[in-house]
Amino acid sequence: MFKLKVSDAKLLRDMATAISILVDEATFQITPEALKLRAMDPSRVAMVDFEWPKTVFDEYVCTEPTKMCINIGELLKLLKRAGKDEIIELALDEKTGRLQLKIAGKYTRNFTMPTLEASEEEVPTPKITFNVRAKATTDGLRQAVEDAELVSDHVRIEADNEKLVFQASGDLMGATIELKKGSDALLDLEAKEPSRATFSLSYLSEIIKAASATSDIATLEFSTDMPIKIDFQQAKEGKLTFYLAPRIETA
Amino acid sequence: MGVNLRDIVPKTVIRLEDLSGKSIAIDAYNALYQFLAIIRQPDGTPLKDSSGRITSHLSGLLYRTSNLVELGIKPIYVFDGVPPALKEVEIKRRMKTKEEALIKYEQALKEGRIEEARMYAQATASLKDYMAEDSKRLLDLMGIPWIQAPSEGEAQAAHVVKRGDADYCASQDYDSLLFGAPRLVRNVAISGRRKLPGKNVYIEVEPEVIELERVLKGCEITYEQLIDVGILVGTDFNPEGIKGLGPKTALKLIKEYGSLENALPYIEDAEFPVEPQKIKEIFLHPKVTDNYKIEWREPDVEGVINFICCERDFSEDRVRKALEKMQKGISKLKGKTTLERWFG
Repeated sequence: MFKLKVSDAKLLRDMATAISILVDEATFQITPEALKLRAMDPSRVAMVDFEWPKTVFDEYVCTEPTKMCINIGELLKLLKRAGKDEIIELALDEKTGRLQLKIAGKYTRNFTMPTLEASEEEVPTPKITFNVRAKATTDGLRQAVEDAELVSDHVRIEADNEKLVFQASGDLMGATIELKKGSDALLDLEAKEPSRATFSLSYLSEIIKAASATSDIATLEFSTDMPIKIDFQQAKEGKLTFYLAPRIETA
Repeated sequence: MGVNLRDIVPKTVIRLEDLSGKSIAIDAYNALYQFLAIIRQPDGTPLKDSSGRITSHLSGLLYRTSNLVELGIKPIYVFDGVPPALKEVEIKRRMKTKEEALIKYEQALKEGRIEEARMYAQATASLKDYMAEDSKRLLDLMGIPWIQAPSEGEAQAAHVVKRGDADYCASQDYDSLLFGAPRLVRNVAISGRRKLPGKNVYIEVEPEVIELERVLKGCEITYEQLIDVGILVGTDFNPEGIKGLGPKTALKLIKEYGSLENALPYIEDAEFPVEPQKIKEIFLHPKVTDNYKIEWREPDVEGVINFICCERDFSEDRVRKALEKMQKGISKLKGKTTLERWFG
């Protein structure tokens, strides 16, 4: 048996939005302790690693570990119907294989949606030695990628022990965004060695924009020409981490 | 025609952009035939230049390829060589169908039945040598690699994927699976909207991925047994297959008796134009070559324009736009990596 209850619909909606950035069909691992998901986008450039322990939920019941695959876009459509403080209950009907979603607020709405064939793929954790660790506000990061997006479709992220720099150059225009250590936007910065890596802005900005709704502070970890790991600190316990593969300029 | 395995093959519907960064060995004749069949005026007349040469295939090749490259997909076209002698029956059958379609087309046109004329015209599409030559010339100018297969294009494409030189085979036919292609993607050369034959209705055609391993696991058979199933259903080398025998029954028979040889005594009317063992041999050991080079280059914009605008009367404006899309895709792809590289 699996069911859960959240008293703030927004929590669930923001989580589903963040996951939907990368996957259409999301296979959740449901254990008695937590709700988990780890998946790559179809082109395997980015990965989301999500885990909410049962304590995040107002009610969480799972009698035996199971997998549940749903179309996250469809779920999101239903979740969007819920107001901010409305209560959401999800339950898996094992007989019919359908997910039941109840929105309770001013009035009660019951939806059902199908579950899909669960993915068998086990996504490993990328093996990377990170040389830079930067703790920044998600607001600061969002501003930085929005600035960079004005001039290019990719951005180079560089850091030493003083500052974290976002550098974008397009066909005509360029942009440099500097976050100094100890400033309002950059809370902490450690660099074992100066590092730089370039990332696609379409991925980076979608991830940062969607995940900032769930989080105020993010930790970036990267090394030269390696994937970046962005860990969005969750208000309650729980984990929302993204990995994004770099673009490597060969020429 | 190709072998019809639709009913027993598990597939995953994907979006074209999911193939971004992947290389795809496209069965060139299969794609060109589709362009020739589909890219026509309402009454069924193919596109032609001012001197009457057909250009439907070039139009399809240019615009479809540029769409693929724009999405970051890396196409490789694989051209048919000399067909195996065993294909003679099928080739004759196709010629006959075309001759009949041509008569019906002219009749329909004369009587003003435009919709029907178009339908018959599509069935008359035939690929002339000059079209393959034109296509190779265009691909060279576009910077897109192509491979000349010694024999069947699908066999060569499957070979390229097996060797790890491309990620997917692209064809409408399931024969690639019988040639051992680990991954087949359908509806790539022509996804988007397609008109249902004979009706004024359009359907959305989505690309679908079929993995050989999943097919074998799902059907609980070996690769050789899949070939046996294909031969029972009918391949290009025995187009009729066995009368009244569909993929599901064929699968059941092969699973029950273990192999084609063992199953044959129990099948009524089991007739073959050639020894079934010889057909099997073509799939197991097709004529293929390791002598090819796969390299994507920037398109030669002026070269393309000189060829298809100056010589074949394409609109320069549209061609330039298509090439710009390609260049955008190429620059997007530069330096792209996937996380798999760091899974160790």
